[in-house]
Amino acid sequence: MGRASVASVPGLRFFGFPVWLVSHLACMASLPGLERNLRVVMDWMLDIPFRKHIAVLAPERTERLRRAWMESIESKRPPGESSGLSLRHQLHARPRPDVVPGALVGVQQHPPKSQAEGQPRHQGGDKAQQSAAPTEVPAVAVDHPQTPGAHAQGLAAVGPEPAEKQERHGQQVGLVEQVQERLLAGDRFAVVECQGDQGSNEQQGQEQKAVVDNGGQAPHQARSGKGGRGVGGGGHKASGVELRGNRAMILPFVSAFTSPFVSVRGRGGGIRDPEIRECALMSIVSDLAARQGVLAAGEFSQRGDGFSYAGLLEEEQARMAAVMCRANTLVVSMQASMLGAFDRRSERLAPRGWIVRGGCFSVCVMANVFCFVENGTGCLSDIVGFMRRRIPELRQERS
Amino acid sequence: MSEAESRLDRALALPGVVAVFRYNDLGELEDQRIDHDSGLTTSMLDMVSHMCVANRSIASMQARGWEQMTGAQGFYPVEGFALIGFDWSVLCSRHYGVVTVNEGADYEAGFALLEELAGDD
Repeated sequence: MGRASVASVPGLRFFGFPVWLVSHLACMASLPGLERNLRVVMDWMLDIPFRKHIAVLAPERTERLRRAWMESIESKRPPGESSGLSLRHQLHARPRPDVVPGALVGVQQHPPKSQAEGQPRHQGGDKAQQSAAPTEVPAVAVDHPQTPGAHAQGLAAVGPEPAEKQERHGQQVGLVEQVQERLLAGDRFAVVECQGDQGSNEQQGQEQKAVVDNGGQAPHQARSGKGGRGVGGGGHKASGVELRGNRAMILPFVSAFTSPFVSVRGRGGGIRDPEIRECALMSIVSDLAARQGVLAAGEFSQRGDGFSYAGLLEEEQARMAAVMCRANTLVVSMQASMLGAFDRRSERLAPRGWIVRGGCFSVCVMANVFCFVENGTGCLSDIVGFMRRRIPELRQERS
Repeated sequence: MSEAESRLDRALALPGVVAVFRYNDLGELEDQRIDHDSGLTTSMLDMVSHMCVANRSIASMQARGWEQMTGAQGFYPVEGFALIGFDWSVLCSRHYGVVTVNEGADYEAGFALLEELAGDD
């Protein structure tokens, strides 16, 4: 069926269609009900003759992110300065890791927040524009002190200073209030985005809970009385939100089958079932986009005919990013094959992903998921680790 | 022992580092240090060096194109490229590369290490 999979069992590694088949059958086994199973199988069958259409998976969410981001910028902009949009205002500051002499390297994982300044090319403005760091977007506002595992003693990671922590926490409280307002205005996604996947401290957790409670419209609250069993003990937790009932069933299904590739057919989103669509938005892309320092995240079709994204990218930028990421992934795969011709032991370098480290931000790709990470604010090691955990198998679709 | 060679030795001594190597603009391997327990060979590193140069060049071209087409800045110049393999990762900058194990890898530290290796290069 033009698909390839890889499975790694301790000591053994399996490839190809059998692994793909077994993994999908295993996922099918967790999906209750004959009807659902048939629907899934039919959907797979339809994938063979019909191509996927290009569509943006989360246009509304992306627009909300962009709008919230712009609001945060506008609130800080001096009167009279022109406004702008997208990454271009953000990416001038270039925080660099501090190299500690003697220890060879030492990286400050959370350097003090820099004030980005820049002049957008497209608008030809003469004034330098000050803008807020992308982490001030409510969607990525929750502080996750994800100190990565230090790369051994010689590569110690340095955490933020207490004063810095306090300052950032104060900013978060303000942002939580903003999100509360948005929730009251019916922006339900704010709830999901505000839920950290790792409650970093109790107070923060209480604030997040308060957001949900005050909103009163948490999209993934328990739905008692609905049939169906939840996977994993009756509930599923994603992005810190407890799911029960049908959604608890749907989410693992969506995660298993649509991530890392979420295909959307037709115009205007394609997924008609609002529950499935909602859960699909909570897939790896959404989780990635909500992580600290991630400017945008997306997925591309290995066949090159589809992509989805969320974050601070315009649609055309996301499309270009998807095309470039796909092309590079193919190149890297080709290179790995050639490397294998030199030495079979090179399989330890069989590609799972790649990173391009730019001046101010990096592009990280794993399988067919990409994300833009701001250097300094985001932690590549943490994000790569997250992607490795969330993308347990490589799925390739031959065009 | 030159300063560059000393840097390579110190880099290889870091936990998690499997190999350190230096290459020229054409991607030809010039110097290397390999952890002998790793199974890596010089010929593999030679090929990896070509891969590093090629990918960094492609990324640079894409970065410039991206900035020109979108008006966004901050991508170019490309500082480095990393290949994330199943067990190992290769991180490379202009003339230096390092192979590390994935388990517990710190990519920021890896790129900082490459800067340190490059020195005034």
